[in-house]
Amino acid sequence: MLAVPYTRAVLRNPNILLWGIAFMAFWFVLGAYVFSVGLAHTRPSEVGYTSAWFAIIALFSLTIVAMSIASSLTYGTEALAFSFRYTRLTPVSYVASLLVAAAAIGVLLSLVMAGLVSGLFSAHFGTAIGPANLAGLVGVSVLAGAFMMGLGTVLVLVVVNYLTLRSLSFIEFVPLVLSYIFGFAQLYVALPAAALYLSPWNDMESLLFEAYRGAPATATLAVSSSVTLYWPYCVAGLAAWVLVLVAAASLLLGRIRAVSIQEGRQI
Amino acid sequence: MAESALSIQDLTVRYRGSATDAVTDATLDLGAGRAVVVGPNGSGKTTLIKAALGLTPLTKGSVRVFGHDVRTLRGELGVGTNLADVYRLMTISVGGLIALWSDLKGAPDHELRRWVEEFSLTEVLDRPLHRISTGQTKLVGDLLALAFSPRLLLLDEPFDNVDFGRRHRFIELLRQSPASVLMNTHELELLHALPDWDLYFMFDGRLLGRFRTADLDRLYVSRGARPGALTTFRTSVGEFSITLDTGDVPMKGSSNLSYLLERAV
Repeated sequence: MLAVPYTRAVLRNPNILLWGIAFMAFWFVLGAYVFSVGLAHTRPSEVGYTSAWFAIIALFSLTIVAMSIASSLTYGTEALAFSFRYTRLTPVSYVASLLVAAAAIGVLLSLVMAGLVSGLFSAHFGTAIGPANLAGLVGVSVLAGAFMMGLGTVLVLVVVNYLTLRSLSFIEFVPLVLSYIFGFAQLYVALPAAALYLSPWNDMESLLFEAYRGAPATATLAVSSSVTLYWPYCVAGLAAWVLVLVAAASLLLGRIRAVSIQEGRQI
Repeated sequence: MAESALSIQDLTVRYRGSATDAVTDATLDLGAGRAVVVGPNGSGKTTLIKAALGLTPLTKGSVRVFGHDVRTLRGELGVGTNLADVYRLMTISVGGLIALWSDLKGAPDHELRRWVEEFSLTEVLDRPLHRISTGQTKLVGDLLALAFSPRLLLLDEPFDNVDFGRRHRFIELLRQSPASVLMNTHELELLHALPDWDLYFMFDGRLLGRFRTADLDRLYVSRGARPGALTTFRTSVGEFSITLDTGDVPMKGSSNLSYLLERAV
């Protein structure tokens, strides 16, 4: 019911273009032309390096989906509370619409990131480095978009329904902070494989890496000799998180507390 | 007997963190009728409308819409409101909003689009609500409220920032609508256009009534408690009475209640 207009609305949001695409392009420029100094000029190391950059920056870009949905929800609680009472919209149909929109936006952002990283890194290294498994990339992006939608929705609704509104302006940034922490952790820190499977951020990062490179991700992306991760476990871990968050979002939407826009702006 | 469109019993609303009630012990049964609540700015009129819609927690009392507790009401398509915030589901143009709301209500939007033209609002169809003027936002809300054949209308200051001609055209549409209506306003002079409505006053969260708009020109406000008063009420500047046919200041000719109270003081 809302999927198409919602997708359009999010894509027209200048924050998506600025923080989800332009800012990430800036990171890619740094990755291709600044941080690559000293990298061994071999195909495997260049492909691995490019794939790691894609995985982590695509993860950050996808996080903007969670932030956009959280921000939109913050100012839309009265509209939702009204719509559930006086229109055909239900919490479940709303979540379903958001899922479709988030998945579509997730795929679009991932493809843009893949295009940017391929162009910039291929140009710098002088050899074509593109995504190895485009279908896999689309699949991961759908799951990632769904996860980000669930996360953004649940975070805002927990605050709106049960906590003080002072937390609202902070809560929108939680997904980004967590993406940075978990994203960089897998790049450099030797975390146990079980912890990586349980962490949805590392599931996404590992799957994005594998889809781009065409070879399994390792527990520490910067160390190719570290433990190899098994992609079905990553998919299972991420899918489980999506299910839990979507169920929680549906329940919380059913009890949504209307917060006036003025009240939201005052905090 | 048909259920009342809106029944409010002993309603008290106090916002989180506030030391005073926004609405205190309000009772109102709309039946199948139409009522207007008049009060100064900040008297609790909008809170009353929001509580009636289930958009603010009820501290005490109950609100029933078509016989159903508003707190658990779901999917009742026959209720319309002009509160602009309920239409802010997402950033979308007014034209998109009309199409979206038509979908959400499961009803065609041709009548609403005709009104948009009639009220000279076609220029705002490509713009989102936050990029149009306050008066245009109010009118879009008014027309969205009236569209899709509502059985109950809850209107918050529908004439604020709306010019004379369009105010009167909207009143005509209201008169033609078969819906029950609860409307609030701070403008007394408009009540002459609604002579057969129930009339309530609201001061500092207290709802006073029921009166009739047809009697407006016979009502007076006087300082202090007067014998034979229809009702008395207390504000931050003291106690007042509303009396019939005699008193300090006639409501006739007064544009709003704040001005009336100033004259009575």
